Amino acid sequence: VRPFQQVRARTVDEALEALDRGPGQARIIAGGQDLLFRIKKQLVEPDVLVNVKGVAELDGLAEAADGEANGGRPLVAGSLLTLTQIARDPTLRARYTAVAEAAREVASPQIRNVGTLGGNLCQDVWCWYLQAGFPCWKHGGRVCDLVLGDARYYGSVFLGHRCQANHPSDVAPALVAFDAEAEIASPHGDRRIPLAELLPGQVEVDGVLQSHSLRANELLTRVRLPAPPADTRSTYRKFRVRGSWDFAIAAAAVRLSFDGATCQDARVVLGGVATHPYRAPAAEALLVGERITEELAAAAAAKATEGARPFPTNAYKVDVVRTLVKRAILQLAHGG
Amino acid sequence: MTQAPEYAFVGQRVRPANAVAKGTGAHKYTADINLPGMLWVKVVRSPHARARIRAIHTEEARALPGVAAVLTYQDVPDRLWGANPAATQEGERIFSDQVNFVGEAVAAVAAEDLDVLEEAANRIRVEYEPLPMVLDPEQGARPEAVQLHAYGNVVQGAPGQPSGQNKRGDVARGFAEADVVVERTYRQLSVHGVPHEPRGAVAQWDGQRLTVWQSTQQPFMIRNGLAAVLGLAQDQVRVIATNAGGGFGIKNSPSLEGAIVGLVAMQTGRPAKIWYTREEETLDGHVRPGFVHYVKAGVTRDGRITAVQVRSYGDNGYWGGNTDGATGIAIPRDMCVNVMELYNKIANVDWEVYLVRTNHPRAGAYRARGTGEAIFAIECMMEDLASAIGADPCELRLRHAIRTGDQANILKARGFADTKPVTIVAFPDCLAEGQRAIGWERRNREPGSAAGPIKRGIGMAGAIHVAGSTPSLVAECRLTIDAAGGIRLANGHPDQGSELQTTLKQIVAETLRMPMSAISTINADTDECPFDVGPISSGGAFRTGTAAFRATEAAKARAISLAAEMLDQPEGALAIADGQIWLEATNEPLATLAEVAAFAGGTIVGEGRYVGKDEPVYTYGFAGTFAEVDVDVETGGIDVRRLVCAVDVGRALNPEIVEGQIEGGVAQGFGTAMGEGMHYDPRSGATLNQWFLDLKTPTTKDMPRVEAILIEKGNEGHPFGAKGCSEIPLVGVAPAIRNAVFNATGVHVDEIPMTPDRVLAAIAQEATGANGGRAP
Repeated sequence: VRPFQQVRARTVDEALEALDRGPGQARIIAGGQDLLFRIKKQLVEPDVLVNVKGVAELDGLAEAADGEANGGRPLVAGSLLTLTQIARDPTLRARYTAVAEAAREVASPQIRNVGTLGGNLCQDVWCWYLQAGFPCWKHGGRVCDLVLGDARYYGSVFLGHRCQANHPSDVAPALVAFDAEAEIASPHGDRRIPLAELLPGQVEVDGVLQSHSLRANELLTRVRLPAPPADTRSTYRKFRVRGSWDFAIAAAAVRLSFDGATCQDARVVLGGVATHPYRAPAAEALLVGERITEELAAAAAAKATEGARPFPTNAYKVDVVRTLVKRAILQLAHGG
Repeated sequence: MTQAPEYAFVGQRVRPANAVAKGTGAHKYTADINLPGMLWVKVVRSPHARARIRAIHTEEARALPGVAAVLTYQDVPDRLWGANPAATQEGERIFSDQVNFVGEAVAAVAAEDLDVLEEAANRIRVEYEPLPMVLDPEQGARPEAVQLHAYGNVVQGAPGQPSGQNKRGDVARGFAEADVVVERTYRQLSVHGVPHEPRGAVAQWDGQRLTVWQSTQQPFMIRNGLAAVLGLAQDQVRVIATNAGGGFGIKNSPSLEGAIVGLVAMQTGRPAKIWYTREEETLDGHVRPGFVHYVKAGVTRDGRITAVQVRSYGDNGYWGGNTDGATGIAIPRDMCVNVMELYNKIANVDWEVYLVRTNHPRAGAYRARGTGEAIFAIECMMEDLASAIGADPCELRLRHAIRTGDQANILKARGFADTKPVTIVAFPDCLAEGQRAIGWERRNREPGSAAGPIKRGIGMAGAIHVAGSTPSLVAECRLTIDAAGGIRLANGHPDQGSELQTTLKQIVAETLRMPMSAISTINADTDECPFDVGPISSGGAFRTGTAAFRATEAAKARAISLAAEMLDQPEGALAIADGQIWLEATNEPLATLAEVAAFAGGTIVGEGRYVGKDEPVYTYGFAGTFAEVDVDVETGGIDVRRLVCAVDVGRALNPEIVEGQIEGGVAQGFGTAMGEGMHYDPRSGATLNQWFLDLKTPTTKDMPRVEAILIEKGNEGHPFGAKGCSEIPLVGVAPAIRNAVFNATGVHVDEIPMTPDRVLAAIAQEATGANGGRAP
């Protein structure tokens, strides 16, 4: 491991100051669950780690001071919240069920106890070609080995930019299903963007191919969750080989808001199959204004994977994710 | 059936001596050994699956302060490496100027600390000239394929000949007699043993003798191999097998780490230590070879199997079995014979095994070597034959199964002149008890007939495996009673997790009629212990246990003889119990064992041996494995709800330990069935899944409770009636689950691991009516 310096930030300003170097020279560390093995494998070689674990402003879960048009108050989650805290929080479990469920499905209990919300959203891809040292787009090369290699677990079925590894986060699709926004601190001031813009798929930022759109001198401080309409139900379904400590082969975060038996609003977001949390508006549109039937759920599920272009080794992911979407919709509409 | 004798210690649930230390982390492994002035050693590995080394530039590494040694093929002895290299074709050296798989060792660096070590390793530059590769065993077996080795690609085969074969009867006539012929192709990936503790070794050289501590199952083989490659006499090398954090067969042969640290220690005069990372363990440990089996079998409508023809192609990697010849000779030879021993009433068999050199990592022994490579094919075939004629799968198996007193054909296949009678076969009991436990009558009459996307089914598989009595294997023990009354059993058997030392103490205690607390053992040290081949082929309690009994009997006889002289009593009047010599007639203690040892001049020593080829009978182990599953036909997910494993253990010397071995074996079999298996990049041959995450070993959330059933009908081949049983629980799990999936869905999933992609592909294939078979 190349020697590096650690800076313990006490405030967001201190963190931003420490981060303000050239691209790739400083990295933020909180739980360290994604970063440390990449350092050990020499995939990243920072000079400075900015430890934000002591920044109190980044912690906690609270209602926002400002209300919204529909009368509800958004919930604001600090990026230092651990995945265990998210999985166990009564408010999240009741109002943002899919988010709490997704957090509970991440990795293993040990990792959830130290892994943070911010780290889970900003983690880079896990792909066995990258880990095995192949010179791919993420590692100095100009090829994605999943394209001609073995994509059964880590390949997207929707075409992405250069690197075709699926986005590994469980929490991100669930947050997108609630129209979450990311609050970002930067030397030029704070800004708030839809989570979908934080996680647009593989994106070049200052010459680095990243899984998120943050610049090297920026910090994800909080995630803001708008208050959902009254009768809102949500769930996260994850499919994998093992019951624990496994990334999703496919996942579905579905949120439906009802007026009586009629679906008033819908979000269908796929995980494990694209280079970003993959929202399927066409599937959502089929559901809105309708009573949910088995046929409608199946149609929406089929719609959700329209445009999928899987590799020969991961075409089964399309079947799997359709089943997850269909079952999630039916579960929310009819229970069970 | 004879009444089982009553024992005071044997058969009791004695807590394993090391259980608490292992659970609390106090146990010492190789990584815990640190010596003053010790160097750290790291291996530089090949990124190419096949390449010639044009040059290695080591100057920059050698120039780094703190670097003590750099070794390349130019610095290692020009001697063959392996436990018995002369007996194999491999011709492996510690390093050479050609690499043959991604991850093969190219050079080693020794340095003062880990930071310098890593930097030095990074500074070694190797110029490679890539060469054409063989990555597919079936293609590699063809004559027109690139030939990787002086002896060709097919291991141990003369040109055009298979690596191993089993022919009996006349299959052409058998197929002519068949009413139904089933042809299917069964596949299994190569699979790694994934011991929790990766390989490691520490070496110390005192100018005359080399001491090596190593995580290994076979300290005596390591000693012999080290002596040969380093140019030392065997008595100049001492190997101490540290308690292995898991071996599972893949630590049963000399891997390079001990030789590398030995060489560093001898060249620098300083102790040296190496400890593989998980990636290195995966790349340069070894795997069970993956196979494709083309099976064609005939059966009559009334349930007589008339012919079985199999062609198997296996992935040997380049270096078989870490150069001990385990794969090169034993795997193909045993796999086509062993499994057909279970069904020795099938008259016509024609099985050829081609184990093929490729540019993948080493293949070799893995828990249940010789059975695990083949049984998936045969146990799936039995299910498919039964379903083809509407027969009960258990009844079809029993009709063709081996019986007590049959001759063991395996011995002839292994080159021994005579066969021997097989001791008790409790296979029918295994199936009966398993059927009762799982509720066999609940299985679907019509496979796949259940409504809905989630379908439940029940399936089973039979199993046979060696139970310790392999003719070529030897164990020796020495029991010493000292003049202070101490009793110590020396045995060369390392602990890889089966806690044999506890079982051995039970045997000694039973034989001497002494409390276990009076007995100690020393083990796995080539200086202090007599020879033992180690924990391979299910032989711990069987071979070493027999030798321990015989050593104790010998010491007892010697003590009685000495006591008779000392006390002036006839030998026949004396007995030993509780550390005393008793006059049987009056039940009166006459002297302590300590006094007799003092009379003898200090110690009473008894030696005992188990020599497989000299034993009059042959012992096989048997098992019946039963699975109940829910299959989600829309996702390809399989939820294994129950696993019942009924094992013919002869007699459980310590049921606590035996159940632990069954639970562990079933879990490992579950892994091979459900997710484990090596993924090699189809273009480069590189291993893609090198980490715990991607090796997909099962977790507690995946495993159902293992329902272990001990069938205890005794065994005349062992002094206490035991059969070795640490391997057999593994092998039936994958076919039992596969057959349960068939019972649930009516779909043949013919490849393990049965991951969702394979299950969905099988469902889609059957929907289009495609057949997985091919005429061999």
